[in-house]
Amino acid sequence: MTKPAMQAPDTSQDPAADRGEVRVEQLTRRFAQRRMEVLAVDDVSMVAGRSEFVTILGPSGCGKSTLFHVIAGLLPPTAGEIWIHGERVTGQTGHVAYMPQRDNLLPWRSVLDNTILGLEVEGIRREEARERARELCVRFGLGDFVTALPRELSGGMRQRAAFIRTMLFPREVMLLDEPLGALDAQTRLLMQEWLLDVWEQMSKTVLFITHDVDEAVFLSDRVYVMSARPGRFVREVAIDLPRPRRAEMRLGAEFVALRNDLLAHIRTETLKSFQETRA
Amino acid sequence: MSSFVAPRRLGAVIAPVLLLLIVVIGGWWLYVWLSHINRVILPAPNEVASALWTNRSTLWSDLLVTLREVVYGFGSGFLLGVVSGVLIVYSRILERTLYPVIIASQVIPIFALAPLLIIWFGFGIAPKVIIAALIVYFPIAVNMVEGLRSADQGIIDVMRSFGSSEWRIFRSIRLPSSIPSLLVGTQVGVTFAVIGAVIAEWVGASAGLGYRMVTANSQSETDLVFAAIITLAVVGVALFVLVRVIGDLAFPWQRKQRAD
Repeated sequence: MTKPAMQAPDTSQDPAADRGEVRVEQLTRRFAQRRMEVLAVDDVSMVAGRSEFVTILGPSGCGKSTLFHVIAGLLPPTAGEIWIHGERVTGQTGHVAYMPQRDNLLPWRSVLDNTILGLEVEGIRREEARERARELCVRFGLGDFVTALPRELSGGMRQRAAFIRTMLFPREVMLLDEPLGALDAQTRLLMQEWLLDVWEQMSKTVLFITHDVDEAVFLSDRVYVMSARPGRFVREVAIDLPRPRRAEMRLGAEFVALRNDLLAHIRTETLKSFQETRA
Repeated sequence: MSSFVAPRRLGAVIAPVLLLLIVVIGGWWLYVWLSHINRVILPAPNEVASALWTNRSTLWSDLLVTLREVVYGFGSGFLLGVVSGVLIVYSRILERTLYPVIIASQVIPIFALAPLLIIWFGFGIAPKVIIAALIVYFPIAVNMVEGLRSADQGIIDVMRSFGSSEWRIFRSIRLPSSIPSLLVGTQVGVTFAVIGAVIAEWVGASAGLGYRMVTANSQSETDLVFAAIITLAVVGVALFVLVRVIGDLAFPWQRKQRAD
């Protein structure tokens, strides 16, 4: 289940950090909302090891996205710490490659120039950035579209472009917030396989958000189940299916057992948030 | 997906307009011919055409005068509008002070300021430029504000998470995001600028198409009034189309997609 470590230089100062690239410690985030205090994330702790694929599975509105905003440094936590490579990065941006739910491509930039946004922020010359981006686009099936404008692309292709934009930001940790949520069911299955293919070649640590149980089982090494609001981790499940994962595995007994186990938990939580919104 | 208007499509746009013009001008002609109306009240189309032709050099120099006022007025109103739009979006204080004032100021008929401006700045180009600029300012400022605000928060989050500076977010995300909205404001603004310049000329001027209309009117040269109006209309449409074409060529990504 663990893959070979990356040869990237380890900037860690904390010798105990070699186990986890990302460590979230007792993270809490509250919002003030019209005199009411909303507890979005409640005392969440998690670890993602090097090159591990870790999924946070939870019902919609449970605070998954808030958790990512805090890890990405877009929101300060109310309490708790974030560690990456053993370095304390709580409240800081620039340490992870973050991808929100929609593709958010800029309509005036070509696909290629959309993918180099992160490299531009890094101060890399445009020509060099484009060269790196073109190589990845060709390798991951966007080669024919590099000069196209986003509006000329299908939903799946746009999502690939957004994913390559995320991957090109030179960080070992990627945060993917329901990146396949907007796709139709068939495209979504194909994109899951594409995503795994890319991830296996790039060996990056992925934190992945979804509310789709099958997706969580198919993609992940480990799954954290998040409760309905306030968002807490109620369960951690290791997915010991062999890699590389294949489409046929979805029908295997092991897959189905894991899926049913997770489904039972997520159902309880979804029911809670469902009743809460009706109340 | 072609980025230029195909000739066939251009024809499809122009043909109905031409047809309507023919109907209107035909009806006008017929009315003048059948009713024997006094030519001072309503000249026939052919008389307007001949007034256009015989006064072509006067109208041309008037046109240049008015066009200069329009260009200066539009240019300064545009610059001011864009700059205030940016300031309003980036400054909480200006958003709460300047923006409501700009919007409230629209209840003041700017044309009513024309006589005052003539008193302050005389009969030269200045009052015309100021009136045109004031009229242009509003649609530009408001559309700039809306355009900058329309930027996709998701990609701004992504840029921030990358550790981008606010300046880069402005340059790479917000400013380009404002372009479609700004173009709409510009199209409105450029036609407003023509109206502003002409009305300022009515109040006090020594040349220009608005001035020509007023003098011709006082001398009962109604055919020349019509000739000046037609010249103005052509200028207005030409400027509108020019903005559209420049916008489409410079920013092809913002063109409305056709369902074909």
